[in-house]
Amino acid sequence: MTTDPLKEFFEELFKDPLERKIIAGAMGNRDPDELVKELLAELEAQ
Amino acid sequence: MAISFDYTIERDEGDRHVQFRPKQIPNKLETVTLIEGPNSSGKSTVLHLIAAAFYGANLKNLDDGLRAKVKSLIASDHQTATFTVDIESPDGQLKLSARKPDASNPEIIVEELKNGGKRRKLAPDTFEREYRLIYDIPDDPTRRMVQLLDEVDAVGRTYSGPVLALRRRVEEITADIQNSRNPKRIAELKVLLDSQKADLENYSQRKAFAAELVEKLGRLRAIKWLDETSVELEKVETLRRATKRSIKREVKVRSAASADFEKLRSELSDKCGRLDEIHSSLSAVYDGLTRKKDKNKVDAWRRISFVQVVSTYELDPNLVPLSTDLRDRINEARSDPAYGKDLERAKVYDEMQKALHRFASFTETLPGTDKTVRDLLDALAAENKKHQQSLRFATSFEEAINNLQSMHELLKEVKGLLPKVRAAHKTLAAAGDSQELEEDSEAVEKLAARKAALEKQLEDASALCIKSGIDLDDLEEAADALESDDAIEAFRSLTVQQLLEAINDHAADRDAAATKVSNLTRTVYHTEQEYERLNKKAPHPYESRIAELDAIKKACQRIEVSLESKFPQYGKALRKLAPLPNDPPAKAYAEAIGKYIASRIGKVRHVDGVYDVAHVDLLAGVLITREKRRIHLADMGTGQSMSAYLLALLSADDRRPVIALFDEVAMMDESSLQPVLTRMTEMRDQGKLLAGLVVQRADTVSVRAL
Repeated sequence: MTTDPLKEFFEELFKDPLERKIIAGAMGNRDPDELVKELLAELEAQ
Repeated sequence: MAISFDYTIERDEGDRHVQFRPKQIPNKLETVTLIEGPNSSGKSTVLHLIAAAFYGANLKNLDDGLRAKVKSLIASDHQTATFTVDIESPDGQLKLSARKPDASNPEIIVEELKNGGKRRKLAPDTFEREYRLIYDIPDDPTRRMVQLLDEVDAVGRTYSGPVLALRRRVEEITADIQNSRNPKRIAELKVLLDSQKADLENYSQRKAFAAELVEKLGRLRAIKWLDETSVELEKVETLRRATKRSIKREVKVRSAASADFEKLRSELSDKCGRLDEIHSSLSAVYDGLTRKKDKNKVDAWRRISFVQVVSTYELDPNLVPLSTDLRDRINEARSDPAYGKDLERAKVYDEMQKALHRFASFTETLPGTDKTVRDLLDALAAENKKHQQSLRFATSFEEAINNLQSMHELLKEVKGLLPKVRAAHKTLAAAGDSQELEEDSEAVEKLAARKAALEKQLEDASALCIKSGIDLDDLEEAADALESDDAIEAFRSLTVQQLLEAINDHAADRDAAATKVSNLTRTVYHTEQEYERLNKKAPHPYESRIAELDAIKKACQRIEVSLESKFPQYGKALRKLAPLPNDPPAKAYAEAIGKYIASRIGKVRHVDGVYDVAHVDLLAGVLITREKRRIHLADMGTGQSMSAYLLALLSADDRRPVIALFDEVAMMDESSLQPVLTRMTEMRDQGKLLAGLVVQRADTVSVRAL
């Protein structure tokens, strides 16, 4: 058994890095403002 | 002890009332316990009770038989129940307490006590959110395994909430940026403003050009109209005067001819009238003097008409011979001797009568006679009656001769008059007939009306010239100015009416351009206002990140569609063991769900080995191991496949503490049951399991804590 099979499951389904980060944020029930900031930083880094 | 319970069940069996209470199975159990026993030993009742206590009747995928059992403990026609169930976590920090105190009331009260703190009541939805109750009979594991998809859907939906919240936040930020100072928006607005201003300038020019052209064409038309009207008026007046003069001349000639003719005709008419009278008076004499054989002459005489001569200007050719014949007949009658004597005697007697008449009152007899004057007068009168006819003939013949003489003289005059009348008639006819004159008069009237209309038109044209800014005293200068204007070159050859149409067309262009100018002026004003407003705003920290924010928003939308629509749709198909659509997303889902369920199962025992499951093909009912071995669930021992299913149930990625109740695991032997019990003890030790009870049929009651 993996430590987080559902995370793996959804990572399988969302290959796009942005979608994957969003779903990970949703799994972690992250604060939307923080998540936006983080996602924008990630996008800028790309 | 971790689990303790008590219950009282009152059952109506028709002929008796039976009460059930914990008896063979102890009412205190350890966290992980394997209960074995024969039928009716009460082992399943323990599981029904714990499930009922923690809202198990509401479990989505609960076996129908189990649901009926659980519900019958809460409300039933044939039995009533009261119960208490208490579960304590292995570390003693958490206690769950459920009780149904009233047999006739289905209400169950569940309470939570954490770390010795305050008791908290847990409603069904709160309990489901915070605790996970698993209650299952592991039959038909292939079919049941797909029910694991429900958990995936449920979890997926819990993720869609935060994704939606993220998207909403991104939309709010985007709206904030729109309302903040946005250089890109400002730049776009500047481009728009420049474009609108250029349009405004363009339409203003078009409006001015059309207005100027309309004005010039108006002047051109006014001058042309005035000019054409003047020329036309002159022509009409000339024609009118000429026609009038012509009529005057004709009237003059005609009236002179007419006077001559009328005079001669009147003279002719008088003479013919007199001839007619004479002719009539002679007709009786002619008839009296003519014998029957010559009566045709009298008829011819009677047919002679002098009235006709006044219109034909010709005499009847029989007139002269017949009047000669009449004269001859009168003369012949007068020359008869008998007629002469009688006439003489009659004359004498008549004279004598006239002479004696003066003495009629003398009554004495005359000498030599014995008669008075009266006697003589009577005798003369008596004698005279015999000669009256002769006297009348004589008078008549005298009159006839005189009349014939008069007729002769009158005919002489008429014969001299007739050529003159005929000539005068000819002259009058040559002077033109009255209808022609009438037509000419009508023409003059029409020309007069036309002249009046043209005079009115001339006034209108003059007024139009003045209105168009043309000095009537200097028309030529205005015309010269238009003549040298190239802008209206193409319009010069048009008629007044065509010019009016051209003016209307260009006026419509001018008005359309004016409307456009008006609208654009307002639009430019608003754009300028918006442009200034945006320029004054403070910038937003993410103002340059609109594109990335949009990308995040779109990614959120894709995820939402997948979680809310696509994945549940695929799950629904798989639950029916129906094939998924043959497209990349569905294939990816099938692959991921296969891996996920494999991870839930972990290891399986098959034949003589233990294998790590890497993938599950739900449609084929096949487990694929890491070594790529394909194990069909149908080929596995029933116990092993049940084991795989129960392991999968226990292995959900869930933070909620678990209460796991597995009933009737009769087909599982020690080797297949052991992995399940081991998983339970692992979960208990990890603090994930609050209670794990496994019930198996056996000949004797055995309760084994693990």
